[in-house]
Amino acid sequence: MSSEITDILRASAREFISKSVPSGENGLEKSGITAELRKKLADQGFLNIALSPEAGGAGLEIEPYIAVLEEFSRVEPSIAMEIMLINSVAGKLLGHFEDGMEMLRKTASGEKSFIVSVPGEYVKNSVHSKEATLSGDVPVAVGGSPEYLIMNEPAGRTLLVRSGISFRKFQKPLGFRALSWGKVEIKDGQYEKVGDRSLENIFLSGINLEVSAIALGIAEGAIEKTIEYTKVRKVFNTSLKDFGPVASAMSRMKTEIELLRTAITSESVHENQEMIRHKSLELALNASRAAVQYHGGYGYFEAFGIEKLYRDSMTMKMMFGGLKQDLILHKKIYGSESGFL
Amino acid sequence: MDFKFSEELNQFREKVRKFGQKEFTPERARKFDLEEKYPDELRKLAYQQGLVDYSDPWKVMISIEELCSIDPGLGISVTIPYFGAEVILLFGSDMLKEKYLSRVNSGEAIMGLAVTEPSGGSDVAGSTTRAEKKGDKYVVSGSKMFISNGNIADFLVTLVRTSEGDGKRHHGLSVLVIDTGSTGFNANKLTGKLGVRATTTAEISMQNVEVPAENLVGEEGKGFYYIMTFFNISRIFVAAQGIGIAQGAYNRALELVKKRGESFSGKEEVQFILAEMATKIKATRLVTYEAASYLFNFEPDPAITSMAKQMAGETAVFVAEKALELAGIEAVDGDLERIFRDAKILEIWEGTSEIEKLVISRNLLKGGKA
Ligand SMILES: Cc1cc2nc3c(=O)[nH]c(=O)nc-3n(C[C@H](O)[C@H](O)[C@H](O)COP(=O)(O)OP(=O)(O)OC[C@H]3O[C@@H](n4cnc5c(N)ncnc54)[C@H](O)[C@@H]3O)c2cc1C
Repeated sequence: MSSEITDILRASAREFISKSVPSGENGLEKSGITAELRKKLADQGFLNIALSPEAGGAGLEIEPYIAVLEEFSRVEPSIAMEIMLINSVAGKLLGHFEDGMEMLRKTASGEKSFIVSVPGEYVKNSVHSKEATLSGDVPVAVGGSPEYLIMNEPAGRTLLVRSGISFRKFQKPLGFRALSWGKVEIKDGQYEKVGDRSLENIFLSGINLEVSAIALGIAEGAIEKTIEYTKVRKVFNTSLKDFGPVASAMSRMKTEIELLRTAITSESVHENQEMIRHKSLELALNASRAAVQYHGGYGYFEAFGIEKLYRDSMTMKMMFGGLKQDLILHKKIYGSESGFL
Repeated sequence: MDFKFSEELNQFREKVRKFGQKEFTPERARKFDLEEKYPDELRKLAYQQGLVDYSDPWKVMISIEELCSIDPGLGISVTIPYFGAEVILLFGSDMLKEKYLSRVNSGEAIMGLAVTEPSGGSDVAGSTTRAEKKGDKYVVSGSKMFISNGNIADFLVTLVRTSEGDGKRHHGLSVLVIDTGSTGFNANKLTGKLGVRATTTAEISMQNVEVPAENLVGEEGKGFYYIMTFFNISRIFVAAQGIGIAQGAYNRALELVKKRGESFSGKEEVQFILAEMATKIKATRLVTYEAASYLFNFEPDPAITSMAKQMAGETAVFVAEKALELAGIEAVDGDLERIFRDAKILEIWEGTSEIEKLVISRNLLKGGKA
């Protein structure tokens, strides 16, 4: 079931992509999400879509929000990730104190930008703090430009670092290349603790539906393009779609996509969110891999915009999958801690 | 059955590995990947040190495997200058061997094989590039797509259509050796590959390119057969690329798991993944070596060769993906992500996985053994 507002937002995301996102040569990957594009996204109300009205947002429900994430991810998953980092990561952390709220407002209006350390069981952020300042290294952070940093501290606190940030950008990371990825060195950075929620906890279980929507969007983008391609590509004087294994693979994946879509828009979505997240991460990888494959040599080149989806979906798995994630799913299924040995 | 290599080959493997470890540093691998640049100096160095010894196919396989395990882009680049040579070696005249192959053998020249066209690579018999015989020349017009070495090669072994082939498309095909310096020959480097970015790939267009009639390989009309015979050889070497890629990803993943200590390596989920990776590599290596031993004893088995190629692609992709999953988000930049991008080509070139499955089943249905 989709509400009218969801339909309108989907349509405006599609329109935004067709008007403001370069197509071909892997879209935004070369230019990145520029300040200008960020401003346009803000002006269209995408950057604050799920933020509270105090933070300048529309305070929309989850359904239209994830529909927008899904829509952007079909073509440009980096934009969806940026929207999610602002609305669901910064939004959950910064809205609890006045200064943070101001920062959030500026970020959502495109005036300010930030990076966030990506938590992971074996990602070691080695920082030491004094009274008012902090120094150390963060091995992997992602986002816009490094005007401020949200990071998790080994001790479990989540911090906002406002100064002393030096960001060594990765030249060509695996996925989500329109965002900035890199290592951070902090020297005597001013910091403060933001709320009680840990960043790791948000990544692990606070953004299940957002992650699912991005992964689902990637899978849809990949399979829809491939279905179209297999209609027009002729091999052995026959349309590719006429070969059994090709049609089966596409039909199977399209079915899985539609089932997931039903699950993600159903009323029991919150109950099943761990399963939906798990399945969509897997499906995005399988679908995008198949898309590269069925595009043959063309799929291997950036110009077709297919290989990007394969890289992005692998990055999603690395970012939002993993053993800790599995444990959450096991617990959901068994009702108690399971599969930890 | 003997599963051991001779002492000489073991020593050769060791020598190749040392070369790779010294020359294919992560910084170099990264640079050539980023810049999409062909490492010609490394090619020459590998050649001078006797690491690419075309006179012994086992050595070629070992080189490919070892070098690809260190870096697939560089490993393939230094072992690919001879790509397509077997077509001339098996079916070409002495003149062609002398004029063309000897220069590649001595490390002076680079060659390539041009089969795929913009309209299709899987359907080899559908080739449309025309070659018309005019006196003592062929005049060639048409396009080829995704040709490795296309813009750096001195010559290309090229599949062309010389006739309609009495209604049977594959009867009308022939193979010509075409100098890339010929008038009307144009190579356009294609950039923006997902992986193997140190290798170079080009789109070729030919407009009334004149080729001496003596550059015809073997007989007119037998081109399809020559190319299929070639694929039954080259697929073994491509399978070796896949083994190398998978081994390289596995080695790195294993090291990482050990480094993380008991809290990670002690988990059954991690252990099972490692076991699956290693098992797939082992199985792929065995099938590939079996196929190679038949081929190198002049008794090729196309079904087993295609099994090896198909398995190698699947294994390379599986192991590379699992290695990244184990490594987690820190690997978003580094060697493993590059290997992951490289691995996917194995399921596409030299016959896609789907085409390999067709070759396997056709042979099985004709009575071949599983
Ligand atoms: C980096 C790179 C380097 C290359 N180097 C060379 C080279 O040096 N020389 C050369 O000649 N070529 C080269 N190729 C081309 C490569 O061999 C082809 O891309 C490959 O053979 C597939 O052809 P295609 O891209 O036209 O895909 P298509 O033939 O159009 O196939 C598209 C998809 O359909 C599938 N398919 C086709 N037929 C069937 C069927 N009957 N049933 C089910 N599925 C089917 C294929 O498996 C594939 O997944 C290179 C390609 C790349 C990407």
